[in-house]
Amino acid sequence: MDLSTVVSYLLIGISRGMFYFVLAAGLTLILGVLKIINFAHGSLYMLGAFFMYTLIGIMGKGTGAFFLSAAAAAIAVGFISLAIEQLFLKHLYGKEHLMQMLLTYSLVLIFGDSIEMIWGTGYHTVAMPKLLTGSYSFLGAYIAKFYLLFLISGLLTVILLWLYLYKTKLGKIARAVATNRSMVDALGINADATFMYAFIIGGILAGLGGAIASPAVNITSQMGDSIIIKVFLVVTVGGLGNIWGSLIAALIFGISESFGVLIFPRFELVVPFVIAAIALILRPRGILSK
Amino acid sequence: MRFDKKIGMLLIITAAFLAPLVLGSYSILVLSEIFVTALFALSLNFVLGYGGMLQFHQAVFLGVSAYAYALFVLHNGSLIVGAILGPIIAVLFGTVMGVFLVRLSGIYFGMLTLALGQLVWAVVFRWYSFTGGGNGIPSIPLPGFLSTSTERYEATLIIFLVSAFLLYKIINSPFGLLLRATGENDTRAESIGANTKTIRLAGLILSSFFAGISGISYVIYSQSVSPDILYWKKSAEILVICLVGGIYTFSGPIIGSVVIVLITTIASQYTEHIAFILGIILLVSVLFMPEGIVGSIKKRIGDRIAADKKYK
Repeated sequence: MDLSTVVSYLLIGISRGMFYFVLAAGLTLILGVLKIINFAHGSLYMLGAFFMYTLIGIMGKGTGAFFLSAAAAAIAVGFISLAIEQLFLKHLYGKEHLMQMLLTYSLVLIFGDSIEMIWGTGYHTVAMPKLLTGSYSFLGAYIAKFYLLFLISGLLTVILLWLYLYKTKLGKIARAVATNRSMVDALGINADATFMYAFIIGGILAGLGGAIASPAVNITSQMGDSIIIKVFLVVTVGGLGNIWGSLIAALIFGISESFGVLIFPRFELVVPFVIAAIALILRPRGILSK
Repeated sequence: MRFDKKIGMLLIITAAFLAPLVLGSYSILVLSEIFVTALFALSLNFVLGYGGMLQFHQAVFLGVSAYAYALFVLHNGSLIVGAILGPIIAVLFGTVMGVFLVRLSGIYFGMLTLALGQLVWAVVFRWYSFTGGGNGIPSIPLPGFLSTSTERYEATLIIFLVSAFLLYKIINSPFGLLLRATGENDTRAESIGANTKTIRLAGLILSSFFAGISGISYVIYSQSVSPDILYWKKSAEILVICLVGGIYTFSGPIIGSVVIVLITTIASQYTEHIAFILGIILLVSVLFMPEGIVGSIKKRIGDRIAADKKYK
């Protein structure tokens, strides 16, 4: 294993980690604020990819069309999240968390089949935009330009979430709700609106994740099933509701998966679960816990 | 009232034993599936409904038991020893996972069940040379006394009845009461001197044992195993069954199994979109009937009795 191999796998790992972070950030935001695991996060990710497929079909294959479609797909998923929150989830606030989680699971079943009804059971692909084909060379290592998309989306997510959580009133309330809900209620602040915004932002990030992943994966009605568990683990290892913990965990997952492919190609699938199990056994409340 | 209930149960059980005389082989197979599913659901509800633990990956224990039997038999082991080995392996997994799980609570507990469970799935799925990988293991041999479909049906029925009886006894034993107490309020249970961690661990181990038994029952029913039986979606499916039936009642998971297996079987003759139908059922249950079928019936009857008392 020479230096250039290590560098290229490291870069791939980091960009994969940033991609996981886009998905994990939305999930952990919802977890922190609403205290529920959103099983439908994987379905929203999948919807993002399918919307992307349809939008690219309409707008064409240009680079501009790609980014416009990605933004539109993410926003469309945001609206679906709004509908889920307003139609269903809202009625379960104050009930057991298990019921809320099972409600999101019912959506997994419904979305999975609805997608098959609309787009069929086969797989679809989205062409890579011209700007992102080819590769860069860096320290003698070649890295596909496409990975930059993951890297930039992840960084953008970090910056925008930071602005939301630390610079806006809504975000500050969201953090307060995550820390101590009853205190927020006692101050006379309506937390229900915070729930809605957190759920929408989570949905937009899931949709964005699906949109940016679409040129790299086969778009199928099962693509959400395996990723959701991995993202769950990222979020748990990071500490439930802890966004910066998720960032670190996502990078650990991305990098170790990337080297897993290199070192144990047959058992690369096992790597994330082993990491998660070890992390949870050593640091049951997340890597950033005291 | 109590007497009627006992006679009713005896009648149902007798009818179940005699069912192969009147029903065709397909109906018998569906009934077997109900028994396997119901036992599996009961094993989950033992920790979920009574123990209050978010076990999101119960399928692992059914899976490892079924695989243990299949692999042991495939390597020329005795069939009976294999059947005993299954639940033992399930208990082994339950104990090792349980030791780490009981240190956590709430959602963290649920997440660790998913992590550990998916770890087992990933190993089974990828270890092609040992487990057959994604193809699983087809046509697993069964003992000679289980060669006809009627015999296999009666076996799944007996396994279900005996296990359900034992689980019922455990739930109503002093240990069962302690488990329910920790499930309802951990802190309060601790303050009366209960060692909640040990109780929860014992609950997990017992639950993995019964899930292991259902794994053997599963092999008798299907005569094959595949990694799908320990995928997280299988666990989610059984959670749905418990919820639809009612997680705070003993018979809820059984009724849930009957309803869901029947709906799935009947609907699959008309449509491929069974997940959609199940999703709608779950959605409606969660929103309008969170106590489940059995729970809401009990509540109705309870309300009526309360109303009657008011008038008297």
